[in-house]
Amino acid sequence: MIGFEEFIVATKEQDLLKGFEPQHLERLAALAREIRFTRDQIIFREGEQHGVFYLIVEGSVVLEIVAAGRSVLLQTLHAGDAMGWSSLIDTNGSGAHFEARALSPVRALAFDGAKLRETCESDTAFGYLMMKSLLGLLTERLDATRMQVVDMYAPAGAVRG
Amino acid sequence: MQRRGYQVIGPTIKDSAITYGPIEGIEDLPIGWTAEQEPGSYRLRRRSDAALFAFANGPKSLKNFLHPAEIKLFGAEKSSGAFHILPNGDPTPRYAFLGVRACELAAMGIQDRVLMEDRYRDPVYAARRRNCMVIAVQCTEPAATCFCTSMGTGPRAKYFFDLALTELVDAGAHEFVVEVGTDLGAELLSEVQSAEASEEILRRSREATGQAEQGITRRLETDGLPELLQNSFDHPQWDDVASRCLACGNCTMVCPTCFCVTVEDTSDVTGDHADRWRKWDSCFTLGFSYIHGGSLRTSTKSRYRQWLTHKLSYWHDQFGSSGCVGCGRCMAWCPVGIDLTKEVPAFAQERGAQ
Amino acid sequence: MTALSHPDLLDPMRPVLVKVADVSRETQDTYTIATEAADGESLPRFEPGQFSMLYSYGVGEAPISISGDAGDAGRLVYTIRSVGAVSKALTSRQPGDFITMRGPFGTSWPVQAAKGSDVLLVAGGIGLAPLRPTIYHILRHRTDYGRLVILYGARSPKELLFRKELRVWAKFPDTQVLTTVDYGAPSWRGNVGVVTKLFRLAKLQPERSLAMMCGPEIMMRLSVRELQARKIADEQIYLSMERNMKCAVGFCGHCQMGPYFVCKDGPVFPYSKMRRWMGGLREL
Repeated sequence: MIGFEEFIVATKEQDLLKGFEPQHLERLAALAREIRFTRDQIIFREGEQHGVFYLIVEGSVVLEIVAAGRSVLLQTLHAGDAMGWSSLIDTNGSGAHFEARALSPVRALAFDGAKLRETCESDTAFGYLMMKSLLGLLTERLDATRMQVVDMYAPAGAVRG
Repeated sequence: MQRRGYQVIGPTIKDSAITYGPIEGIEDLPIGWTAEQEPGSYRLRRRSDAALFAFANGPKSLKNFLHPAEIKLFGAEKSSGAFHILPNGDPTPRYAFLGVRACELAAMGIQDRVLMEDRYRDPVYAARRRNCMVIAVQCTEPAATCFCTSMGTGPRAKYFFDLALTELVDAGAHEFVVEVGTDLGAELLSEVQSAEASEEILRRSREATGQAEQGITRRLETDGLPELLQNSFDHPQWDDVASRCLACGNCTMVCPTCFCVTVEDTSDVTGDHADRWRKWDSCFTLGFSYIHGGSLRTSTKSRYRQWLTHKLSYWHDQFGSSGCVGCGRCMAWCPVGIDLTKEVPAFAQERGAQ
Repeated sequence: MTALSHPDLLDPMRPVLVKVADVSRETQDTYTIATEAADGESLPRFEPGQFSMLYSYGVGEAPISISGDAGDAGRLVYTIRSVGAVSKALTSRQPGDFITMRGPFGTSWPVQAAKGSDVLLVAGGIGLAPLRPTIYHILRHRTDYGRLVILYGARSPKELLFRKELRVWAKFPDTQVLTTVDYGAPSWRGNVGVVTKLFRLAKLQPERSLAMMCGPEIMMRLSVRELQARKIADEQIYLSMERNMKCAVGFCGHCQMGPYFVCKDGPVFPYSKMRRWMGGLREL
């Protein structure tokens, strides 16, 4: 477990938590534990029902997907980013949407997905705020992904890939 | 004028239009002819008198001579691995323009601003401009397509001429009232028979101009026009025009202020000699806005919008005046008769549901 | 505004012969060529951000940003991406070949105005080339400037330009270099994602920052939004625009973007001027 003061310090750069009141942060702090990953350590695999929601405090993580036998790098995440949202909203049990691998040593805060979900359902004000923030995060992620699809650097007439 | 080494360029009938061409003598002028112009229509009509200049304008303007449609900028030659740019040898023509209208002089002033008085100077235009002389003619017979009064460019020419003539023809006499604009003009005048104009003649000359003003029926509201067009980027009227516009570019060719050109580099089969040519271009072509494998303005709508907005709006930001002189050529020579004096008011209308 | 420093002021369409001194390959389709004076003439000086019209004999001319060091009077260096007939011909030149040059033309990056500020450079793809002279200038006068952040995005790791120099630049004091790619090879250990995702990693003080950007228009549009969200004023954001150019001196009309001629009112514009014309107006 992690103390409240430590939690506040560790999460001051987290986009997800902007707009959270102290009482909401307390709820989160109660569910948080610190975790570390070494360079190249797999944090979770595609399809794995790891059930953990992460806030990255230090280091960088790459999200990748294995397609046709080779891995395709999708996006890198850094301090201040959240990942593992499938643990919060995944209802049909299909698990993580892609693989997450630490590119450098990573320090993160980990939250039990099931417990976080329970808290959202029992404290609906908190739950609404959490979902709203998550929606904001996913929108941003979607926009960024769409920009990769635009292939803006491609020379004219180039075929992607 | 020819004695002074000028090539006289004046109105002459060619291909069923009163155009500008080399004039050897009075017989080359469109004596007793006028032209009736409407959007999409230009017809010669015989007059009952022998007036020399009783028409408004034709498809050509001074632009065809000062800013030629094609010109070689330089040649280059290859020799032993290297190549050299050859010096420009062609002498600059000396044109004496006869029969120039106020709107054309205004257009010339506009092209002076664009091609000589901005950051860089076009030596081709500058040399021909410096070398030319102008005998203007005060309009007495405007065409139905004219709207110089709305643009503040006519019907009376006030500057840029060496001499300006007002032709007065009636049953009894065929006279020209001559205004002297420059010393060169005065010199020229001194070589022909002339007399000081009487009060009566001057009155008739003013009357002729007054009648020309009355005769101009088309109007273009220019107050607030630059802002109006810049704020109308998404206006449905553009779609309306686009449904008619063929993007043929006629308007840009006959417009006396359009200046866009392209540069073409060519080489002969052996590769020993390469030329760079400058040729007229039109913003109506698909390739005009080509970049990185595609054009930015692919639709006719976007190209018409660019042309009109540039001419009537951006030109103010760029050069401090409108780009339009109200000569009406763009409508007469448009195959589908697009009339910008009718298009523009549509932008001021309330938009329908979009 | 920089006056035309070309020796032949009389005819801006008349080119000057230059010799190709060096050609190096940067990526699959991008080359850097260094030119020196031919015919005993000296090369004109240039300001970072300016471009020249380069001509390959018999093929044609193209506008190419100058990507070298403005402090090096003996050479004019260009980084060219081979996308069409002219650029292909230019990138096929060998040392000892001749090409012609007209210029330099256009407005320049606000290197003087940026003194005392933190400087953020955002580049996408070949857009790093016109920014490189600015980087050279700032690093040579390092103490005249605050923090320097270089954010650079390319399609894939193979398409990142000046990789060795990027590593060297990152070692300068108070200098941050962050790169990202849209498509990372499996062995890539750097950032993956659109360049705007790097903004939050940049250590800058917005109230004393000036940004200079060059890359695909969509990248610049998105970056502007990020900068505005970080409270950097529109007047402190500069972009380098690109349009079809035939003459580079405001006569051919091709490069117009709204009321501006990109060749002489630009290519570098403060965003406050460009704002109206960059809002995704289709077919402007």
